[in-house]
Amino acid sequence: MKLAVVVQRYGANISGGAELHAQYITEQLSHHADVTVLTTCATDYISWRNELSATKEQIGRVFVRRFPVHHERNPESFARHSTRVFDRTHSINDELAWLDSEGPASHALIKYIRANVEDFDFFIFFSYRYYHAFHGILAAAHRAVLVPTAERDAALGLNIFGQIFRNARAIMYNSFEEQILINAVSDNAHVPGVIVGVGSKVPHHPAPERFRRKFKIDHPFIIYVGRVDENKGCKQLFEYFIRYATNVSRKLSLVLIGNSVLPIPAHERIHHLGFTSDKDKFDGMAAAELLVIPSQYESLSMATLEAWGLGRPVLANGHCDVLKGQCLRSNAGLYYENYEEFAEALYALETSSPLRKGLGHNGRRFFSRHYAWPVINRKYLTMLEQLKKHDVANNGTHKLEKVPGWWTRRQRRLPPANDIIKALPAGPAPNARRSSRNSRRR
Amino acid sequence: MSDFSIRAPSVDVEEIMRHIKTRISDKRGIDYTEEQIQELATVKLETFLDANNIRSDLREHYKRSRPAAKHLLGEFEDQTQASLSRGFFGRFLTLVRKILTRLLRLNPLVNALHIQEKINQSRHQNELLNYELLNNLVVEITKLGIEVKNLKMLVVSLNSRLDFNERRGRALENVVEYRPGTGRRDSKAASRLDDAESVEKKQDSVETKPEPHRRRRRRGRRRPTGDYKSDTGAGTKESAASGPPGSVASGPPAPESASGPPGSVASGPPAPESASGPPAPESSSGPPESASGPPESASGPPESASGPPESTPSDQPVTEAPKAGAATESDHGDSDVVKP
Repeated sequence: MKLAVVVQRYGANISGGAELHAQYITEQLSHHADVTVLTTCATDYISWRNELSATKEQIGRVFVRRFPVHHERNPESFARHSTRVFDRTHSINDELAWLDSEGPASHALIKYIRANVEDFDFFIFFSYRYYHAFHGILAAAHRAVLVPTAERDAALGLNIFGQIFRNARAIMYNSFEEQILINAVSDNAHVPGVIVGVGSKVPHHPAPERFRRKFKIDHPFIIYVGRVDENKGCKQLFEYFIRYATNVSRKLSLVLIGNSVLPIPAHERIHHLGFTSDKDKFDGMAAAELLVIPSQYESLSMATLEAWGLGRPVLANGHCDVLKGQCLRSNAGLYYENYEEFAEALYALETSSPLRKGLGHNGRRFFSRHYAWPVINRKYLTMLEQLKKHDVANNGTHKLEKVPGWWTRRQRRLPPANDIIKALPAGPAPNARRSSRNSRRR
Repeated sequence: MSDFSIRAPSVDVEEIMRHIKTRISDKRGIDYTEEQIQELATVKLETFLDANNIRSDLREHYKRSRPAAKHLLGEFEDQTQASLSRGFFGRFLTLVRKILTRLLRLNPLVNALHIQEKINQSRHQNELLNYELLNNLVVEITKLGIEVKNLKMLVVSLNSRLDFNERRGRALENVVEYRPGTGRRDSKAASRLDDAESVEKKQDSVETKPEPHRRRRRRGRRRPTGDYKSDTGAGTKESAASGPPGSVASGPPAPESASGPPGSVASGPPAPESASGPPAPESSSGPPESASGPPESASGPPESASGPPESTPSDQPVTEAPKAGAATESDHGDSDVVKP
């Protein structure tokens, strides 16, 4: 089987949930198929500046082709287009202009896909919201498998994305909540889909003591792993933690791992270690009392899965449906929606060792049952094989949705994307919770 | 915060979260959401403002009064020209625009209109801030107004108390200066004293066997004449004890008998007679507490209101019944009257 993985950025030093997700999946699938990665020369997700050369290279078992980005992102233009499509009545052309301004607009990449569509059995596109996914899926719809990594943000309410959710051959969802959202916004229940997620390279024998010695941390601590950003809820986390450290706990510290785009408050019990190696990250997670995930917008938190893989409980933002749903389904994490809940839940986890152990035990079991690599690989390969069989049975025909005409694209009749998002169903997936319980009983 | 009793195999996140929420709601009393708390805060503010006849919806009123200013120019962007008109005329304009764009450079005009739209937005934002500021100023002025009103009331209260004290002082001065029949009163008291001494001597002479524990009656602390008179009001002890009810009240002002709370003194007119608590008979024969009221409520000086504790009747070791026609226990305990 010959596969192409299409992703906006790819490389060893690139941090980012979707990119890492793509990298892990690529490496796993490369054991079962011939995999080529099609990506851009950009490494910065804000400017999409061409920083890598447009060459072909071999990274491990994977062949990587990079294509230049046509233009960098202009923040002013992007902001103007965002206001237009998110807050006002707009047209399909407005949405296309927004997509172009968001980037990474690589015309060469799309041209390559269009030209070589028959050379690959399937194209696996990551991150629905970028230029490469939209135009790439339209160029190779009958061979397109989408990993949307969608979250409840305004971009999901844009009309153009409904088209690719309906035209893709299959969708690999990250969670029940993501599937419900996408089904509701695009009415694509007929498209084959499976909830997969991603595994992780969790070490079997982490060394928490080594981490404590290396970073000179003696006290018990909670850990945050990821980009330190206001969009990730870190500002609120700092506020809550400082309040908690002042009023409740005298010894608990907060350790942050990841690059920061937010000023870290100067507090004696907040330690920012910056970007660390995977070994330090896993050792730190194993040494921590728990992992805290303050982000409100997550399609799948890999850090959460890694913490569960290491047998550590999680304290998540309850406003994020996916995290809340996963905590409930796994029985491996608590969640909060305000400071009172944060303090109570953190206090319970800090003071009750049996609770931490119980949640950690459940987390490890949940991870091994749903996110171990054999499970993930089997789901991907099964889906691809079924699609191939279906192609053979139907002579490779795939009915495409009609693309809007010239006049339709220019009519400003589409409602603001934010209004559409507000109308979508909210909360953790109830049926998933029930089915998870039943499966546990069985 | 209380500890959880968790057994590792039976962890149920849903149950734990329910427990946490219950505990939080118990702490709060009622489980208000943030929105409800905000709503309650708004309601309080409105009540506060309404109490002073000030528009609580001032800000909203301002916002409503200028809806047209928000989009005076409308939204103008690079695609706006195309959507200015619809229908046949719109298409005609589009055609004309396409022709004109070949001949003219419209970009500066488009840019200017775009900048103007930004300026309008900025002005609208400033106006909103001004409304906010105005609203806050009104709230602060209201608070200050109420504070000023309170201070004015306090000044009036203090004024009335001062006036009362002045009147009381004048009354006391008048009593001290104007002493009709001072000599007669003194001679009466002296003769009564002599009578008492003579009776005592007679008894001593008649009873040959003296009682073993007989104690001499302790004489009350003698005060200057003016003080005595001021304590008993006008007139003698006899007149106060044997007179009809209200005889004390009908005399000159007796400010020490005023027993109402300070507030009542401050707010009401300074009329010690009307402010006195119990009627005259009780005040003449009852315990000093009932006559003078609680010390903290008496407006006069403490020594004139209730007297020192050691001079109260209960402290006196006299067990004999009072002699008929003689003066009974004094209201104030430290009178010069000696019991037989």
